[in-house]
Amino acid sequence: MKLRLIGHRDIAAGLFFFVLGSLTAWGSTAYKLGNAMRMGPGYFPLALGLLLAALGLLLVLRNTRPDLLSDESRLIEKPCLRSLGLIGFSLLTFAFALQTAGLIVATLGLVIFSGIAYRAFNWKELGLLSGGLATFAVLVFAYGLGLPLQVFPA
Amino acid sequence: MTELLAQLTQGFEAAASLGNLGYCLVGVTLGTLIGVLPGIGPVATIAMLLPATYGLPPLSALIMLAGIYYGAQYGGSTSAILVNLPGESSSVITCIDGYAMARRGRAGAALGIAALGSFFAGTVATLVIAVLAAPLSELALKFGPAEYFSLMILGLIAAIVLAKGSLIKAIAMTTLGLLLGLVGTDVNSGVERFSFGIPELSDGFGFVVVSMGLFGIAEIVHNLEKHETRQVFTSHVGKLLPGREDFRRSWKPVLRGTFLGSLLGVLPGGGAVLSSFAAYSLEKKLADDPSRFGKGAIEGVAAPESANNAGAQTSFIPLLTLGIPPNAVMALMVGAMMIHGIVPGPQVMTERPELFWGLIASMWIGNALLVLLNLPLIGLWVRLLKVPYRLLYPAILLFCCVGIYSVNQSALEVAFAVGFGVLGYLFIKLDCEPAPLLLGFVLGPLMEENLRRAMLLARGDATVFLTRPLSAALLSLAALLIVVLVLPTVRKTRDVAFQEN
Repeated sequence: MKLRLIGHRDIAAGLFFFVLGSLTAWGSTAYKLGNAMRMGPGYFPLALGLLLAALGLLLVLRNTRPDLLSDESRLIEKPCLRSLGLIGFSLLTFAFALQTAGLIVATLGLVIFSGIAYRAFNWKELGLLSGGLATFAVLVFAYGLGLPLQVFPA
Repeated sequence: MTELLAQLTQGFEAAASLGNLGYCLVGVTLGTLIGVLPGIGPVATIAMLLPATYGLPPLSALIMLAGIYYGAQYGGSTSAILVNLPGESSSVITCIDGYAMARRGRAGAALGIAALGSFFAGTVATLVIAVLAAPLSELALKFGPAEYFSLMILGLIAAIVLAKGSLIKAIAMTTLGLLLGLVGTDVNSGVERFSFGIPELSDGFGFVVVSMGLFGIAEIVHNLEKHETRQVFTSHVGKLLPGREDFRRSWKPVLRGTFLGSLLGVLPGGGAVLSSFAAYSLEKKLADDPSRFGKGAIEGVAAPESANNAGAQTSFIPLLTLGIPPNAVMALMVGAMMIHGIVPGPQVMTERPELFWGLIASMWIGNALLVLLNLPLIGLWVRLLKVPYRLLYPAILLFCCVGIYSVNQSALEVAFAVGFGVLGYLFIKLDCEPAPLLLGFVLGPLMEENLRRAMLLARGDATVFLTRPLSAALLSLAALLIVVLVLPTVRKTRDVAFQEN
């Protein structure tokens, strides 16, 4: 039953908002609150944090009716962590390779890592695509648009 | 009237110089291209091109960037009609009847009416901006902090009302967006809030970072888990010019769509997306035989396509007259103006008339170019749409990455975007619409500033928002929106309208 509660989309969203709102409200007490006339930096975030927490709670309470809980269609669909991880990793590779290894290497890394997130990928196609996009990036971004990007390894 | 003509003439002279015509052409072509391609929108493209506009004269830069935005509205309808995939979020609703028309071999007529309707709407919206700009700028001078605050409340409520799904979730997402907007240095006290000592956060999260993460990256991951089923109708696009019967059916929807779009575009939180949804529901309501909708009714293409183009253009009004960006794209336009030392607001019209009227005139020129360009180029777009998604998304990611990175030359910002991508994916799984969050994010700091100023001026008396007539009017409009929403009949149509996509 407990797993079901968390696995329910609306309840999970409610809990998420509740936790985030509470944390924000708690965090904003570190800043000066002030009063309604002279609001300090903590006033508005505290108010919004409390509002968010209240909305989260409301969302949870409204969905804890038995008929809604047993509604299978409201369960969270299984997330595809493989794609999420690979895409995230490819972007981080690009970002952190750019300054040292340069645009060409960074683009190759981005395209190859993100490319294998598609399950039925094939290496030959991916090789061509990454080469093509790297050429395109250098010609268009670095030279054409003149963006300040390092092209070759430093 | 003669004054208006003189101003418009001045604008056309500025916009019709060879260089500016060229930038307008580049802007609308690029806009159409990214509009056609699903997954990359005007926000990403404008963000990427921002640094490249440093060297241009301000008017040319703004003309090109504006062209990308309304060009994308044209392009979005092409992929909606031919592939049943909205190239642009404002074309979501066009998929329903546009794709149905394509399946019945009438893709050409659908594309034709979308382009002609958009052109008509664009022309009207340009006039609306020209006529409304002066009085609104004057009105803006009467706006105090209380009025600005109420106006933003109205905008946020409009965004909530038109978000799909649960109302509580939409309000929560807006609140979360407002909070995210507060990260960084507080303008009043200079205190850094929620920045966790990270120097990159002292200016808050970049707009590009949040929007590309929530929309770009999250959407790609989500698309990867679905099976790709794209069928492009290439065999017979059919005649591009709609027939006499089509015109008879669609001239009224085009008019109504244009009207609705021009109106909704002005609202903060409005713009193209909201307009197209509203126009579609209206047509369905007014139709003699609503059951034709969803099976290829030309009204279902004509109305939303006119509305989204009108809305895209009139959403420049709040930016140019009040200095408030009503949506994500306009927030980027603020950035573009700032780069050139122009502070958006009512003073632009008086201090830089050639810029103001030049931009407006360029919109009409751009729309004319779009019609001339688009119909002959359909074949090219169709071929582009045949590129499978597995080849497309790495390219989109590359564009996003370069866009984010080149704003501040910061690798950490790309990492933040990945974080927002994960968050956006979570929102998709939890059935939370991210659009209201983004609007809250844009308006957050502005809202807080105006709230604080209003309360200071009123010596802590919160009734100031109700005692000042303009502010009270804006708030009652917001209250009216909520009341209308709770009415059972409206609720039902809202649910139906959103279920279909």
